Formats: sequence, structure tokens, C-alpha cells
Amino acid sequence: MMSLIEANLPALQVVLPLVAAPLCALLGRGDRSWAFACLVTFVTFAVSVALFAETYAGTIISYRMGGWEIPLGIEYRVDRLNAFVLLIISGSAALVLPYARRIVAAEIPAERQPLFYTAFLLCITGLLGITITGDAFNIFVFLEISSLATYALVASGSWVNKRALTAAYNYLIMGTVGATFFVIGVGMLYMITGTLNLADLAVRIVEHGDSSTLRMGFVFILIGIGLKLAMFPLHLWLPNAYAYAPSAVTAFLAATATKAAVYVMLRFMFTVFGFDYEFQADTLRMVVLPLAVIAMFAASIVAIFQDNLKRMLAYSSIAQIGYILLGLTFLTETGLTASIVHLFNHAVTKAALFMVAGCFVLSAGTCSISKLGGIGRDMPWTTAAFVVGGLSLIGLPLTVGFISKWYLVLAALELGWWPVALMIMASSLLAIIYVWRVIEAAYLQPAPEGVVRKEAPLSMLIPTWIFIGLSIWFGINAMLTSTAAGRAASALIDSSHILWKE
Amino acid sequence: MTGSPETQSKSMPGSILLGIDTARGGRIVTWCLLLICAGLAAAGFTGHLHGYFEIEELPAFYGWFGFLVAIGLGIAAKIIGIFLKRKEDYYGAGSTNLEEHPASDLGMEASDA
Amino acid sequence: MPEYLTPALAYVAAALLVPFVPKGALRGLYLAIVPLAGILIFWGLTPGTYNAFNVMGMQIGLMRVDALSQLFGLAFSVAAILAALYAWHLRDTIQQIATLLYAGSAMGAVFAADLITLFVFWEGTAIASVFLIWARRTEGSFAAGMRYLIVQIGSGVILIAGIVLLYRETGSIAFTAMELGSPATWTILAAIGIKCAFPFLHNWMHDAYPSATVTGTVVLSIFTTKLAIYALLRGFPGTELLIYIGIAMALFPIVFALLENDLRRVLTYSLNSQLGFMVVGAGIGTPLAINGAAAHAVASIFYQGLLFMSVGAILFRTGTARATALGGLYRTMPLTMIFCLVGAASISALPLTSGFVSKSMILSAGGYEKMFPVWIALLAASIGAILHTGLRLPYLAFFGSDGGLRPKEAPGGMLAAMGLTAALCIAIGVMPAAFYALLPNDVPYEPYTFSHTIVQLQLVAFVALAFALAVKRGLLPKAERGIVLDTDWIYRRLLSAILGSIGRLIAGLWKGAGRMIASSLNWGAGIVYHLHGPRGPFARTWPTGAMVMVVAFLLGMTLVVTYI
Repeated sequence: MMSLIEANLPALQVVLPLVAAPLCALLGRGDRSWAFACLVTFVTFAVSVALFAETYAGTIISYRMGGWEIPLGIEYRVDRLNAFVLLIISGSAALVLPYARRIVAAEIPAERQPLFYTAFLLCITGLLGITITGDAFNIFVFLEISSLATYALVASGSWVNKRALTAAYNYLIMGTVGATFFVIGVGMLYMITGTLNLADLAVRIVEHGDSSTLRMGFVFILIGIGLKLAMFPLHLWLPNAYAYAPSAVTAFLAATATKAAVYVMLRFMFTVFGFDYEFQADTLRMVVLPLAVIAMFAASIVAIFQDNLKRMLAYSSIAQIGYILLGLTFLTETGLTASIVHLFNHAVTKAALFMVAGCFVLSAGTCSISKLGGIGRDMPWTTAAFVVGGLSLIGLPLTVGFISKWYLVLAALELGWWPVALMIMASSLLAIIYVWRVIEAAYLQPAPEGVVRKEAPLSMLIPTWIFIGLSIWFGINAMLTSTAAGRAASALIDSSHILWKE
Repeated sequence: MTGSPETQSKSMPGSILLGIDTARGGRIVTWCLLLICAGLAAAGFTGHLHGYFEIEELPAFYGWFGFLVAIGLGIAAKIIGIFLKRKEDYYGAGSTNLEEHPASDLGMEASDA
Repeated sequence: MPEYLTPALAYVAAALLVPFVPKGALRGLYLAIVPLAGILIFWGLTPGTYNAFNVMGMQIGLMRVDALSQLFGLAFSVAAILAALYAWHLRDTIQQIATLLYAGSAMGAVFAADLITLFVFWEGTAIASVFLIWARRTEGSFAAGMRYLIVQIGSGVILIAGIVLLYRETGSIAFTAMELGSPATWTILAAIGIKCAFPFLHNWMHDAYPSATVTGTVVLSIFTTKLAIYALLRGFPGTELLIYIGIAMALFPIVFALLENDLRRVLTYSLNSQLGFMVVGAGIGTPLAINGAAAHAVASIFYQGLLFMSVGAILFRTGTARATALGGLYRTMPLTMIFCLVGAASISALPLTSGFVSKSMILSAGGYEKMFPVWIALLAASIGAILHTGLRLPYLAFFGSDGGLRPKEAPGGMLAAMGLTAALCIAIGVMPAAFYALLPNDVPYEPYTFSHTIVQLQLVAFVALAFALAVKRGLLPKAERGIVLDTDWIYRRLLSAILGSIGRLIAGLWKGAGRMIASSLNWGAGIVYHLHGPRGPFARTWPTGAMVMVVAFLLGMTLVVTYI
């Protein structure tokens, strides 16, 4: 039995939540569906941990779906990189779901909750599938599963605020455009290579040589994924989707959705395209690099002026994605390490912060910064969590934010890109301003009169503080994350054909 | 409240030194210092003073050098003060130069003697 | 030994528990015992680096135990105990916590074997200590604390920049002696220079220290600057530039100390001048000079602390530290006066006091190296110290013209702290051998030679005579209400004036040209707000069609780029 489970771990990772999702819908109203979804995510997380442990040393698990031979059949391929991302996704899910019960009960009618949790499980399925699969078309399929589930999840915010519907609609249009671009790109690659398996694609693209179809495919995939990961200026769907989605959904999406997309970007850029031809690196440096830098500043400045805490955090996410993309465009091992470690670090930090926003929504009924005056006294633990998370967002030492920035600055200096390094630090200063605005409101401004605000329930505080704890723990003891990221980065570099690799 | 100010002061703990801040007390202190200086200058000749530089071989070098530099520093400070001294409200109202030390941080009590 | 143990940990843990200890004698005792626990952690360890571990490929070491770190650790610990005694009357939990965190950070920094740990505690001292200023709870102290915090955090930011550069250059973050020459080392020296109050980087001290609470100023005077001296001794021993910086630093504050009316500010200038001696010692860099600088730093922690304590006691009882309001306090505060005179004697380097056995080492080190200008400048600075702190300060406070104040003697805790500190100053002076045994280098030195004793006595006596005559003849600046401009004028007045006039100029231009170009031009935050504000294009919720247009545009652009 154990060996059977062990042999099929990669399949279980995806199949488990997939099968559980319809069951969840059948369980009926109330806490039953929640408890079931929780259980499923815990098991899923356990599977991810097992996969991570198995690949940490460097083994690559190649799993053939239904026993079909590669490249005809679908291959699930787990290496250090996606095991790390799987861990982020399933770990976030396993923490967000316990948190979700109270806030979902407050935001969504009881009879709709089973469907909500079903969509949640489907979303997890999709994200895990994107990450684990080794097949380009399969990525598209899972992308659609996760996206459709996400549209539904965002739209379920409409019980609180009707604007969630337009936000979900916009997200749907943009997401569909992105997925379409992606599939067009994959189609073009298929045209020239006749294969959809990622590893196989990598080999055949080299054999086939440069062509305009390849270039077209490259651009379509870049823009398609760029939409999904909210690369500036393709981020326009994100602020509203995050702001109006139910708080638990926002926390989960912020931690995982864009991260899975970044993973796909890394996988395609380094493993599939592999920088065989100069145009690929050039495109990254001429298009993605400036956009990443603009995102770091423009989105941070927008965040400064936001009044809605969730929207502010959403803009901050766009800026943080700028950092991740920036690390990617360095095309060096340190740069990639920075990107990958920031995947984790940002997931932990942002999930915690959005959870804090959810606690505010639950207790104060609002997350408008101007109405949060004096909340630090009423909800000390929640607000303290925000302060620590905010410090991590700024990148203060002893927090994970510092680790990411450290590697990023180091990578910029390695290349001798002084201005970029300076810009990274300068944009961190902007984070101080928008974090400070919240802290100022929470501690220094008087509470609005006649408002009673209770500390958030433990079921929400504990997951929040686990994330905060992680962001401190891995800020002090960054061995595990930075080694894992470093190994994944070197594997990516090795799988590419970067000529200037050292 | 019964005795004269003078007797009141006499019962204060530091009354041994009472009068040191009068003109007469000042004169006495100055004369004492003069005597001490003369004594020390004389003592300097009783043995050979080892120095690092030739200038230290000059008679009572430390004495007159200290004296002159001290007077010089005082005068220099006086002159520089003309340029650098300002009123207490120079940096505006919100400055610690102007405000009194808050009483909550103090334990102001008068002597009961 | 546990992996993360450092004396700082004891302080931080203790600080967290402070609110749970009942106020009063029990808490006073608790605060005084914590530094003892800190001593237990490092005392008796054989030299070496403990608690080292690896973070991101960098070797972190929390506990480097050698003679230098033990000496400073011990001095900081004892000073922390004395400061806790001095603050026995205090019922302000915030100050108590801040003091522990501040002292703990300083301890952590002293024992740091690597620059990252140093940086963390470096910023720790800055952040913890500012609460001692803010605890005065007035508008002025808030502003002064803010200025202080900006400078101190700035020092930390410069330090981390230097560390990053150094790491890039050498691949190591070990905190060892450095050579000036690369941008990295210059940056690190600048960071230390700020905390050390090098000339032109100094005014934060004179701005902030007198703005703190009674006890806060005493605590502040102990740690920050001596930590910087420690960092210099560790990082830049024998750097010639430091000699010149130190001389300037020893000399220029004399004038300010002679002019100032606020006695606490007189003491910050005198502290600044004493720091100059230590910087010179670090710059000369011979084993004797290093010993001298370390010894003088330790001696100065105590005698300068004693002086700050006595002036603090006056402030505590009278409500003012302005010389113009004081005078004649010998009548009712005789014990405070005696302790103040012990401190005054020490800073004057009178034989049998700590200043004599420590300061003379630095002068001798200059003498042995035949550095005549250095030696004569330091001699002049010593004369200045005798004049402004050894004589003028006690004269203005306790003698001089009677201010009419008849305050009660200082409270018991303060007297105990001052008495112990005074005893320590004299003990060091009487038993130099035991004190020298703690110094980092093994260099024989005998302070009590006949000639040295006699010339130092001559120096003090003649300066005292000069002071007596100068007071009588009006050759010294009169103490009068007012302030003395220092370089903080540059940012408190000049900069704000420049910015103000630029602002007015722009406002004028703006108004004039407004009608023509108002629609096309905007200024600073206006533009940013316009673009990024809630209604700006970056933040607005875009119609779906426009979003798709952006996507199409970017796709087109990228395709073009690909084919270039």
C-alpha cells in the first residue's frame, strides 16, 4: 500500500484535490464541507512535502500518466524547482483554509459555502497541476481549471460588494486572453517541433533552429504568461480582483496564483527556450527588465495613495512581482536564486498581510485605512502581525524580505549594474511609506467613536501568525530556503544554453 | 522661618564651605592656588623631569604652558562667542532649548534645612 | 553553549519581562541584576569565537571573546548597573525597557564577530535609545529625537552599504582590522564616524543628549559613542587619518564647552573632546596607544557618566541645568558636589584618579612616536578639559554666583550610583595595575613616575590659577541665557531656509507662469498624485477594452523587439 502511494505521489498531488472537489459539493451546507476541504489540503500538503524531500537531493521524478510513453503521453515531472513551488502552493492552501472558516462564514451565505470550497479545491488542483506537469498543453488545461475556479471565487465576493462581479468579469476577459495567447504560442511550438512535452520541446527547438514561427511563439507565450503573473502593465485586472474577492481567497491567490505563473515563465524561458538564440535574452532585457523596474516604482507609488488596504497590498504585490521578474532578467544564478527565494518569501509575507486585512474586515467591517484609526489598541495581535509583515515587505534584516533583496542587490552588483541596485533600494523606501501609513493609522490616530472592535478569533490569528513566524524564521535562518532556491536556480541555468554562464 | 537667613544657612549640610563664593573667599582660594603653584614649580626642580621632547626641559614648562593656553582658550572662546551665540528661541518654539524640563521627569524638592 | 547565546539575548529577554515585574524596589533590583547575568555569559570564557553559524554562506559569529571585547563588555555591564541604580526612583516602564534594549544592543555589538551582527545591534542601539529622548514627552524632545533617529539610522544604512561593498570585494563579512583605500572601507569608516561624532558629523550628540530625560542622558552618554570607539579600535587601528580627525575632535569642542549655558550640553562637548583623545589613540595604533584608547574609553564611561549623573541630579532637584539659574548649590547638595568634583578631577587627569592613568597612556604613545604636533595638541586639549569641565562646570553649578536655589540633596538611588561611580574612578586611579591587566595589549606602563606626577600636578594647578584669575578679570565668556550655533544650524536653519526660498521661488514662478502652462505642467507630488493617485491612470479601474488594448500594444511592441 505504502509503496503504491509512494510510486504515485505525483499523480496524487493533483488527483486528490481534483476528486475531492465534487465530493465537497455533495457534502451539504455548513462546516462539513469546510472540514473536508481542510483535510484534503492537509493531505495534499503532506504529498508536497514528500515530493520536496524526495527531490531535495537532486533526483528528478518523471511520472507517466496512465503509463503512456513519453512524449506521446503526459509526463509529470518533479524537480527541485517545481517541488519548491508545489510546497508553496499546497502549504499556503493548508494554512489559508483553517483561516477561512470564520471569514467565509461572514462573507458568504451558508448554502453557497460548499460550492465555494469546491471552487477553492479546483483552484488548488489547477495551480498544482500547472506546476507539476511536464506537458505544455496540460499546462494550458490546468491554467484554465485554476482560472475558471478563480473567476468563480472572485465573483463570490459579490455577496459583500457587487463590484466583485465586474472585477471577476475583467479578470475573466484578461485571463482568457492570456490563456489564449499561451495556447497560440504552444501551438506554434507544436507546429515546428511536433511535440508538447517540455523536455522534448527543449531538444527539438535546438534541432529545428531559429525561425519566425519560433519567435512568434516565444512572444505569445511571454505575453500570455505575463498576463497571468500580472507583469506591469498587464496587471490591470489584479487590483480589483484582489480587492473585491473574499478575504480568504485574496490571501490564497496572493500567495500562490502569480507564483505558479512565474514558475511557468521560468520553466519556459530557461528549460524550453533556453536562450538558444540571442533574441530571447534581448527581449527579456529590452522589454521585461524596464517593465519590472517601472513596476517596482509605479505600483509602489500607487500603493502609497490607496485607501483600501487590500488594494494597497495588491499594488504592492505588483511591485513585488517586479522584483521577481527583475531577478529573472539578470540571467545569472544569483538573480534566479533571488527570484525563486522571493517566490517563497513574498508568498509568506503577502499571505500574512492579506490575512491581517481579512481580520480587519471581520472585526471592523472595513479595510479602509482611514477608518482603521486606533485599531492597534483594539486588535493588538492582528496589528502587530501587520507591523512585522510590513517590515518584511520593506526588507528589513531578520525578515525574509531582506533575504530576497539581499540576493537581488547582490545579483545586480555581480553584473555591475549599479543603477539597478540603487533602484531596488530606492523602491524599498517607497514600501516604508505605504506600510507606515497603516501603522500610523493603527497606532497614532484616535479610534472612530462608537466603534467596537474585538480581537480576531484564534482560528484566524494562528494561521496569520504562522505565516508571520515563517517570515521571521526564514529571515533569520535562511539556509533551507536559499539552498533550495539556489539549487533550483543552478538546475535552471544548467538546463538552458546561456552562453555566458560561469 | 524663625532665624535670620544666616543662621538658616549655617544648619545646611554644606555649611563648612559657606563663604567660599564671596569675594573674600575667592581671594583666599586664589592665594592658596598661587602658593600651591609656587610649591609645585619648586618641586619640579628637585629631580630631573623626563620628557619626550626638548620643550619639556624648559623650567616649569607644564605650569606656564597650562596657564597661557588656559587664558588663551578663554579669550578665544569669548571672541568666537560673539559670532556663535544666539537667543534661546533661535530654532523656534518647538525646541528643547526653550522649553522647561517637564515636571513629570523631575523630583523637585527644596532643602528642609 | 546554545547556538544563539549572546549577552544581548539576556538583556532582550529581560526587557520583555520588565512589564511583569512590579514597579518599585523589586523592579529596581531586577534592572540592576540583568547586567550581572550579561557578565556571567561572557566572563571567564577562553578567548575565541563562540556561537558561530552559517547564514546564506556568510559566517555569523555572535560571541567573539577576547581582551578587547571583554573589557568593553565589562565596562558596559558595570555602567549599566550603575545607571540602573541611578534610575532607582524612575517609574517609567518605557525608559526601563529602552535602557535594557539599548544596553543589550551595545553588548551584542561589542561581542559581534561579523559585520552583519554588528549592523543589527548597531541599528538596535539607535532604535532603542531614541525612546530615552522621546520619554521626555515634549514637542521639542520629539523633534530632537527624530533628528537623532534619522542620523543614527543613517549611520546604520551607510554601514550596511559598506558591508555589502566589502562582501563584494573580499567575500567575507568578518569584523577585523581594515585598511582604508576601497570605497567599502571608507563607507564603513563614515558610518562609525557618525556614531563616534567626528567633526562635522558630531552635532546629533549635542542636539539630542541634552534633550533626553534626566536618567536618559546618563544612559545615552555611556553606550553609543564608546561603541563607536570600540569599532574603531577593532576595525581601523593604526589608520593615520584618525590622528588628524581625533586632534580636531579633541580641540574644537573646547570653545563650545566654554560658551554653553546648558550644563548637560557642556558635558556633551566635553565628552566629544574626550572621544577625540581615543580616536587619536586608535589612529596612532601602537600597542600602547590602543591600550590607552581602550583604557580612556573605559575610564571616560565612568567619569563622564559621573559628571552627567551629578548634573542630572541637579536638574532632577531644581528643574534646570542652565548655568545662569544655578550656582551656590554646595550649601544643600554637598554630596552631589563631592561626587561631581571627583568626576571633575578625573577628567582633569589629576593623579589618583582614573583620568590620570588612562589619558597619560595616549599622550605617552604620541610621545614615544615623537609626534610633537599630536602631543602638543592633546596637551592643549587636556588643558581645555581641565578648564571647561574640571573647573568651570562645578564652579557654575555649586559655587559661583548664588542662584538662590536651595534644593534638597539628590535621592538615595542617585547618591548611591554617584558614590559607587566616584569610588570606581578613584579605585582605577589608585590601583592602575589591576586595571591595566584588563587591557588588550600586554605593554608595561607606569603612570606614577615622579616627573609625570609632578608635571601633571603643575598643569592642573596652574590652569586652576589661570581660571581663578580669568574669572576675576572677566577673561572667560560669561554664562548667559542663549544657545551656541553648531553645525546643526546647517540643517535646522540653512537647509530649511534654502528649501523655503526655493519653495517660495517656485511658488512665485508657478503663479506667474501658471495661466500659460498650468494645464501642461505639474509639480512634484502633484504629478505623481496625478498619475498614481486613486484617480490616476495607474490606479484607475480600466475598462476591459482598454486593458485588452494595452495587451495588444505590448504584444506588438515585443514582437517588434524580437525581430530587431
